[in-house]
Amino acid sequence: MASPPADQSPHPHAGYPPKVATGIAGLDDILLGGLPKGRTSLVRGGPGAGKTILALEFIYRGALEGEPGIFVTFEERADILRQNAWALGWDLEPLEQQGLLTIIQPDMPVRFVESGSFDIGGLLAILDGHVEKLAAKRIAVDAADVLLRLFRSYAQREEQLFALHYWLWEQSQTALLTLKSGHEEQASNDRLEYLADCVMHLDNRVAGQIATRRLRVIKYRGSGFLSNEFPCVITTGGIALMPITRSQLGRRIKGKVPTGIAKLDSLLEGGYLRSSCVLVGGSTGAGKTTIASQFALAACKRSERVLYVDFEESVDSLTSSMKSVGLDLQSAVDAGQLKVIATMPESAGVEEHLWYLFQAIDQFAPDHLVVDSISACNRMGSEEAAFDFLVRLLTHCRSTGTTCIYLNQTTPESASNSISGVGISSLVDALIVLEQDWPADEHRRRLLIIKSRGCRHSHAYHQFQITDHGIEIAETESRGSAQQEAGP
Amino acid sequence: MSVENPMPTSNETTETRQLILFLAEGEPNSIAARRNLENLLASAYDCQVQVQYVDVLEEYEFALEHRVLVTPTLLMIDPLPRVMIVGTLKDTETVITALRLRRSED
Repeated sequence: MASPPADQSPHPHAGYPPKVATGIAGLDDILLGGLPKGRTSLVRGGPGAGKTILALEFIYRGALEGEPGIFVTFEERADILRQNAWALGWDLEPLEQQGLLTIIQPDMPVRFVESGSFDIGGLLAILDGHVEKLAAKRIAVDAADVLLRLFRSYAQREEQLFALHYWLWEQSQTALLTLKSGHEEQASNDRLEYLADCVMHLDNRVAGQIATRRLRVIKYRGSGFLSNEFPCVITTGGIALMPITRSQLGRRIKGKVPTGIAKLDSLLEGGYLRSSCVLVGGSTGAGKTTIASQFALAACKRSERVLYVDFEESVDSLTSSMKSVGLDLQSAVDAGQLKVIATMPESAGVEEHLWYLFQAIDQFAPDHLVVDSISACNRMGSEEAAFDFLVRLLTHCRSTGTTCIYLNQTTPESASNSISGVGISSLVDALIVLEQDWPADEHRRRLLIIKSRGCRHSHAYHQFQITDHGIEIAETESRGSAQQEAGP
Repeated sequence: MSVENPMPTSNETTETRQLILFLAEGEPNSIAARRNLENLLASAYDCQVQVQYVDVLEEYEFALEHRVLVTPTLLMIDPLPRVMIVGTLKDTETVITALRLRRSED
């Protein structure tokens, strides 16, 4: 009795139709296993959408798995492709030497005289030869529309597309063709969308000055697929797509985690809720970074790991300002317990920031995460972008059981507890406000716990000071209650 | 269709034309091109014409080298500039003009 074909794919839907895992992060999830085996798939998209890299990665990942593939490029030069691949950390040359990967760069004839009918027989012969030489299983044809320009009439183009498609099918190649979206090519592209077994669209949209690439599967003959638009990022490792399924609710670790400030622990019945999200708001200099750093250091002393994402200042500036209040972040960094990522919010779009952070979270596996500050996230493009970023980061942290401390910088004009600047206060588990004022010569600071889910917390204002050994909360309650002291 | 007789440059008149016809053996367009070229060369010209027939299915690397993506393709590799003619070569006068040939009888 024949045994069923080996199925390396972890996807429950894999099997029929037979699929080939692309190896591209996230794409196989969206395609419920991969591209249709022995069939032609199509990627369509405008300039800069990432078609070439997607197609090249499909061939590259196959070659790494020992499945020989051919990349036919009608637009980019082979040496440029190798350079671009190198920049993504892919070394194509050894694979080429081992006969696992071949780049064919057919130079388009520049000037020619036409006399009578002709067809892509030359190209197919070239492909034929290479398929045999490599025993290739995968073929990517990048910018197939350029080839079609050799043919004047629509009918000819269509005929040649049929010929190419038929040849690929006859050769049982798992093929990925890329085509530019554009009105001129539209007609023949549409035709190919009918022929292809799987069709994907890639686009590169700019929202709030930040470009985001998105991928959408249009059709997949005989198979289900995730039909949403998925953000994708070109990272140093290649294309990465983030299906939302990635942010499923996962395990939550119960219990309390000490805040690093004994008095605050008692106000919160033992500390922050582990794996929850705590929002700490306050104006500049109110002590947000200090409260977070104190929490981080205490966690590091318990041999837990903390990832500190700083959108406000550099690593050096953070460690030196915390040193001045007696918090030695540097030794925690040196000990490998604390990791600080300092980055400018405007340096990348939401998707890229998320990708890097998810990667850092997956690799460093922190118990706790600090984001300083979430108000800076508006600079990722727009308030919606910031909200999207924070919610997805929070969701990811919930799935990994990571405690999130979000610091929010409020402006002096805004009422102290109107903290919902980026609209996520309803999503957080605990909300702490730090206030300050300067009556006479005094710098007066106080702290108020506005909410803390699942715990009977203090509802009073508590005076505190920032000393040379961090935050010190006064034992006695401040006189006024929250209601009486609310902003003017 | 009236085609002007090309004015041959002095150094081309006595040279040999070197042609390569790239074919996909057995394909109708290729069969037609070979027949049309042979008919065309049955006439006498003011120079020698040498033709090499290449089956792209056998010599695909040679085809790639010469940018031959479509068949049939006729290449004149010498004298320069190179000339590429694609198709069945059905328009005899177009082909003769493109190859800068002159009939001896004329």
